[in-house]
Amino acid sequence: MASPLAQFEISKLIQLNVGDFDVSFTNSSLVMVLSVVFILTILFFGLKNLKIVPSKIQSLVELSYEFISTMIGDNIGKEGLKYLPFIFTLFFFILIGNLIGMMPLSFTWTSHIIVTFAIAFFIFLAATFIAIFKHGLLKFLGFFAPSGVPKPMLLLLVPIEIISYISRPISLSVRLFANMMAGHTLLKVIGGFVFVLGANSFIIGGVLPLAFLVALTGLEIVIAFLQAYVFAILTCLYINDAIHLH
Amino acid sequence: MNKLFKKIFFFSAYTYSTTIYAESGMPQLDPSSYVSQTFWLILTFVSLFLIINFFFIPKIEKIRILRENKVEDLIKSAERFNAEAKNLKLKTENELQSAKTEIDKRINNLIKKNNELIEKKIKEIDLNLEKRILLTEEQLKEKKNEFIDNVSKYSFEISNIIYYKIVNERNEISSNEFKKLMVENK
Repeated sequence: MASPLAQFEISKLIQLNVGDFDVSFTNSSLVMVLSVVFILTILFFGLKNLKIVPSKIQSLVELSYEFISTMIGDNIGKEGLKYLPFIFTLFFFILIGNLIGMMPLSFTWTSHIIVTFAIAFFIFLAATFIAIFKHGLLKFLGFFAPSGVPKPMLLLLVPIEIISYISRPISLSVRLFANMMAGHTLLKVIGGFVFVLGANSFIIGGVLPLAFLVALTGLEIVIAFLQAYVFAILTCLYINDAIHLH
Repeated sequence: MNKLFKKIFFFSAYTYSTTIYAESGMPQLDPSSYVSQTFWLILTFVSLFLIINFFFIPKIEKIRILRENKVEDLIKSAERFNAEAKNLKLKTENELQSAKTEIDKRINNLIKKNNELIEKKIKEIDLNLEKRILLTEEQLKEKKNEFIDNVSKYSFEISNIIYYKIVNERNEISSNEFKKLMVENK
C-alpha cells in the first residue's frame, strides 16, 4: 500500500539556485502563489467599483475586513488596528492555503512544519520586539514574573513562564501543521479504503468508506477555516500580550 | 452511475500509482526543501502583505469612511426633517387653536346678537299684544255700553210683545216715549 504521507512530498517544478541555496519553484510554491493570486483576484474584483451600497463581491471583501477588525477589536483593542493588514493577510493566506489544499490532487502548504514554523516564529519575534520597544527590556522581563506571587514561588514560576513563552511559536506552528497533516492523511487513508474495498467487493464495499470520506471532507473544510481562525486569533492574543503586558 | 464508478476507479488508480513508489516517512522532516519553502513563503507572504497593506486596505477604509459619512449625513438630514416636521406640527396646532378660539368668539358673538334680537322681538310682540288687549277691552266696553243702552229698548219690545199676548192689543207707544215715561215715573 502506498504511504498516505506521499501527498506531502515536495516536487521541484523549476530548478532555481541562489548562491549555494536551492530555492527551486516547487509544488508548494505553486500553491502559495495560487493562494496569493486567488486572494488578490477576489480583492481586486471586490474593490474594483467601490459603491456605498456594495455589490455581492464587495460585501464579501468588506465583511472579511469587518471580521478581522472585530477580531482585533475584541482581542487587542483599538491599538491593535494598525496590525490589521498583517492579520488580514495572515488569516486569508492560511485560509486559502488550507482550502486550496482540500482540492483533489493539489498540495497543502500549511501541512509543512517549516512553513508554519516560519510564520509562527516571525510572529513570536515581532511580538517580542513590539513588547520591548513599547515597554523597555526591564518591563518586558517583568512579564515573566507575575505580580502578587510570593517570592519563593517565583523560582518556580519564572522558568515556567519563560518556557511557556518560548513554546508559543512551537505550539502555534505545530497546531496548524499537525491538524492539516492529520486531516489529509486521514482522508488519504479512507480514500485508500474506498479503492481497496471497492476493488475487492465489486464496488459495493467502497460505498460506506466513500460516504465517510465525503463527511470527513466536510469536516476538513471546517477545520481548514477553524485552524486559520485559531492561528489569527492566537496571533492577536500574542500581540495583545506584547502591547499590554498583563 | 457506471461512469461515476469508472471515474472513482481511475482516480483511485491514479493516486495509487503516484504514491506507490513514494518513500516512507514524513516529507515534512526532510530539510532539503526547507530553504526553498521558506524563500517562497517569504516572497509570497510579503508581496501579498504589501499589496494588501498599500493598495486594498486603504480602499476598504476609504469606502467605509465614505459610507459612514453618507450615513451620518442621512441621519443628520433626517433629524433636520424631523425637527422641521415637528415645527410645522406645532405651527398647525397653534393655528388650529387660534382658529378654534376665533370661531368660539364668533359663535358667542352671534349667540349674543341673536339673543338680543330675540329679546327685542319678544318685547315688540308683548307691546303689540298689550295694545291689542287694550283695544279689545275698549271695544268690549263700547259693546257693553251699547248693549246697556239698548236694554230698555229691547225690554220695552219684549214687554210689548208680552202685553200683546196677554191683552191682545197693540200698544201705540214708541220705545222712546216709553223711555221718557219710565224716566218721569221714577
